[in-house]
Amino acid sequence: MSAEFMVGQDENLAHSGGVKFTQSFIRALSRPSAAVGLAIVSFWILVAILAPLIAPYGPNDLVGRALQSPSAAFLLGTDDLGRDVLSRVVWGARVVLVLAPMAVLIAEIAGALIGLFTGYIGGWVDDVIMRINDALISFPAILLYLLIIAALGPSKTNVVIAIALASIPGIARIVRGVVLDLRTRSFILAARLRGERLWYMLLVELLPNARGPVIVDATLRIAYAAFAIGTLGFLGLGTPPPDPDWGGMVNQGVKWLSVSAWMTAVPAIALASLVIGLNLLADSLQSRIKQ
Amino acid sequence: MTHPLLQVDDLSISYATEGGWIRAVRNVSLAVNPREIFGLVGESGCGKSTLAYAILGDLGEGGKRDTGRILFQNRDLLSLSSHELRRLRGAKIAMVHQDPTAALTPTMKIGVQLAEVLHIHATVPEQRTQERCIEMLARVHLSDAAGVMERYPYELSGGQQQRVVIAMALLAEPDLLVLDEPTTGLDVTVEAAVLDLLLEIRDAFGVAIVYIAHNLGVIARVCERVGVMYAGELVEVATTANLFHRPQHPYTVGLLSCVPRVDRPAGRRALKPIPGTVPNSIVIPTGCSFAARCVYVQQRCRDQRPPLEATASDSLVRCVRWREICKEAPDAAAPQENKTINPASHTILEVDNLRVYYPVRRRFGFDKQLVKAVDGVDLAVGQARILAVVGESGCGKSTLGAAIVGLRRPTSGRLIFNERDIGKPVGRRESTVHRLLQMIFQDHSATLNPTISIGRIVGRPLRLFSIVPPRQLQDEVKALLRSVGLDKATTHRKPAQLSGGQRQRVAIARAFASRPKLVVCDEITSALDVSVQASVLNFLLELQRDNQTSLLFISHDLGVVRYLADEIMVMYLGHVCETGPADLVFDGPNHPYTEALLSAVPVPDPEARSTRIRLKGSVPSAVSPPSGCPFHTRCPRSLGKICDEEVPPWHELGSGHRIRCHLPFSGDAVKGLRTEGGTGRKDSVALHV
Repeated sequence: MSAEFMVGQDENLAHSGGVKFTQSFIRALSRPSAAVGLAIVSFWILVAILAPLIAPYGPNDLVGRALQSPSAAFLLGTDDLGRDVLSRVVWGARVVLVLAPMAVLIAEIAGALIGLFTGYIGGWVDDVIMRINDALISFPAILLYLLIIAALGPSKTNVVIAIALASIPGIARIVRGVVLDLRTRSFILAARLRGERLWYMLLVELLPNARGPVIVDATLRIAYAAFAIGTLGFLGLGTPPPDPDWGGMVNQGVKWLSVSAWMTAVPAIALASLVIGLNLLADSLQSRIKQ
Repeated sequence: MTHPLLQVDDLSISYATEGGWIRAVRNVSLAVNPREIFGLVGESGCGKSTLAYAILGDLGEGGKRDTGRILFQNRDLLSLSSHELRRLRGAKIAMVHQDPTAALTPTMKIGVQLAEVLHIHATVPEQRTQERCIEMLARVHLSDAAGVMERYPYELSGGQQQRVVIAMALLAEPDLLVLDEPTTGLDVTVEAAVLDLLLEIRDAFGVAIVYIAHNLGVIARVCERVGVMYAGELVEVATTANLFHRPQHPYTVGLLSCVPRVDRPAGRRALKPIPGTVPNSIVIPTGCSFAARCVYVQQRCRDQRPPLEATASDSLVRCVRWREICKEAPDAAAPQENKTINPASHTILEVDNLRVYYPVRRRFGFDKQLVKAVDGVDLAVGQARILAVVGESGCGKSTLGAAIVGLRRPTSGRLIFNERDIGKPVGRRESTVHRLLQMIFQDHSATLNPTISIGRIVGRPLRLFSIVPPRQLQDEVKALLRSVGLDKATTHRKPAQLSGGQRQRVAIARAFASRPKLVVCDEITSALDVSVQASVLNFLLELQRDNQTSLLFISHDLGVVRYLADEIMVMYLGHVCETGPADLVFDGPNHPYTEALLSAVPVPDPEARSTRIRLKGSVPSAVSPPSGCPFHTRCPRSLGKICDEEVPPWHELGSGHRIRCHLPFSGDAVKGLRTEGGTGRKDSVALHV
């Protein structure tokens, strides 16, 4: 576009929609609770990225006596097989911070598409898909995870699939709600009068208007997903051993709780702090976007 | 000279906002005498409502008084304690708002809500409460007053609800009634009846009334003196006669000349919009606040704030040049060239016996019923012609428009557009139909996708229908925006950055981008201020003329319709009751319903308070419309049995003017009818600010 196009007018109007959105995002982060959340989450992201530099040992290396208390050599002690707890927690951060966003991303894309489609089409298609959706929502999530993992077998990929599948119905419902509100608006009618194709209606006219609720939902859902990964790990349905997995580590440690609390407490605290951090972040983002 | 009941002295009110202090009211002084009806008029954002609430002693959250006082019966309202205010409100000063549904508690019976007022203000003994409430309901002309006491608000129509609210306000016999746009949400025939009621209660109860409205016609009908507000200032105070015949402030002149007027004979006047918009009142100019939009502006206007001066005719004007303006005004509007009518133009749209019924579910989904929104409508729109469809809410005019563009499926009948049958819903119509048949919508806040830039919005039809080669797309977008008075910098903006009028102009540019043959306009200016409406209508007409486009213009505002329509179709309950060339319809004779509509339109001439036709009751349900003539239940000229039972015939009055009625419409009988009617509608003008 030409340079003259960029010349603004003298009017004292608000900033453009996109800028406003980014601004509210930034303003959301300036709250104290959000700042704490951001600090915690960035800490874990840094840990995950820098894992090879931070971790003193390999995650699966047998480096010393089992069940040691913290010492200069093993800052957070060792586990029942003599692996360094610190190294395993640090490497475990990678697992959570890769799998959770991946599951959520897949779920959001699939859920949004379903919600956009059924909400816009309406009629019996909407009725049928939404009743199936409701049935899935009425299942406790944990039961769905168990069913899916039991069917597919425990692996990182399957954890992602299970969490994504269990999240889709909720996301579809949120997006559909937004679409139901939007579809009677004049700009949608105007697009219909132009004879726009379905994909244009869904992706260009509707989807960008649903991004607020989708982003809020995604931030909140990453926290759920992190927790779900922990839960699955604890139940032995997460990352197969010997790879580090916070939930799995807690599960292993529980047996030795009376001997050494370290190998249980450290991954538990790690998981809890990450989930709390994500929640704090999501909460303030939510209240900001809703305004 | 009586002592004023309410006296506002040099009042200034500010509000704290994120952007700074908004100076909503600035140095306003006015006095309202007992039994007087004082009007406040101005565009939205001029501080009318802030002033009204201040009169009730309410500055709202974040509001503070900067200067001045409000004396009511010699007490400063803004210095009273909340306890004293509570005793005053309702008892001495009462308020009626725009939306009666918000003023009535939905879960309480009317009788209980009314009795509450008497209970609080204890003006009558407990045992007489019921009696007094019923009496008051009868005095606001609610039939079956005792029955209304036992009903819930949702069981009443909008007009009835507003009557109940007025009765409630009058119960404690206040000395001052503040009315904030009390008829804005009502249909024109209902509005007319409520306005009659206001005049009557002023005489009966001797209350003074402060009447806030954006509609100059309404002000002319009820008020004795009028204050014109602009950007928080009172710019002119005058008697109603002076204000309308000899406006002295340029803003008043502007308001009056940007309103669509009905002028006999057919010669139209171009509406003169006031350029620019109401300022935000955060940055206060040193000079006259209207200087930026004023056509009479001089350097001295910008340098110094003009004082509120008394003029020869006892008006107060805040303008340094009022003497000169007084001579030029009010006929500032230039006559517009007559539109050349080409009777041989071929038909673009033909609607043949169209019916649109849709089901409503009642009572837990059982018992499906059909709403007969459009019930047998025929119409034809010629090339480059403007057909206006008028009628009150619920008459089916919007459903008709939706069926034509394919957003509602017709139940039966034929739609022929551009010599092709277009009975299919919009998704299954051919691409040429999509290109040639466009629509502009009412709600300016939702007509543009908030996430897409203006340039892309206007460019989309160009790209979609390959109207211009891709290389010329940007130039064409700029040209389209220029044709609706927007500069090229607008292309990068998002809809939220534009004002309502600007958004509506973008919507017009988008609709005309694909070079359509017919554009359906559904109440496109009803949510806009009058000066904005004028510019929107002007741009629309210019594009329409340049492109030889036909318009189907749906509106409830007869002034606007008079301004632009070539032909008019009047609808009532899904039926057409009158149709014909605009001039013939406005000159009459008319169908009794058209007659009632025309006479209900508020007239801007204070002397024109003559007898008018008032319709009784409200529009019947379209689920079970009356038999025979659908209008017979409310018709002031009903002939009895024949109207109740037989569908009336069409009368041809020549030149395409047709009326569907049992009354005789030919020769002398018609003339007799007209004189007898005596509606004074030759002066009818709808004035909406």
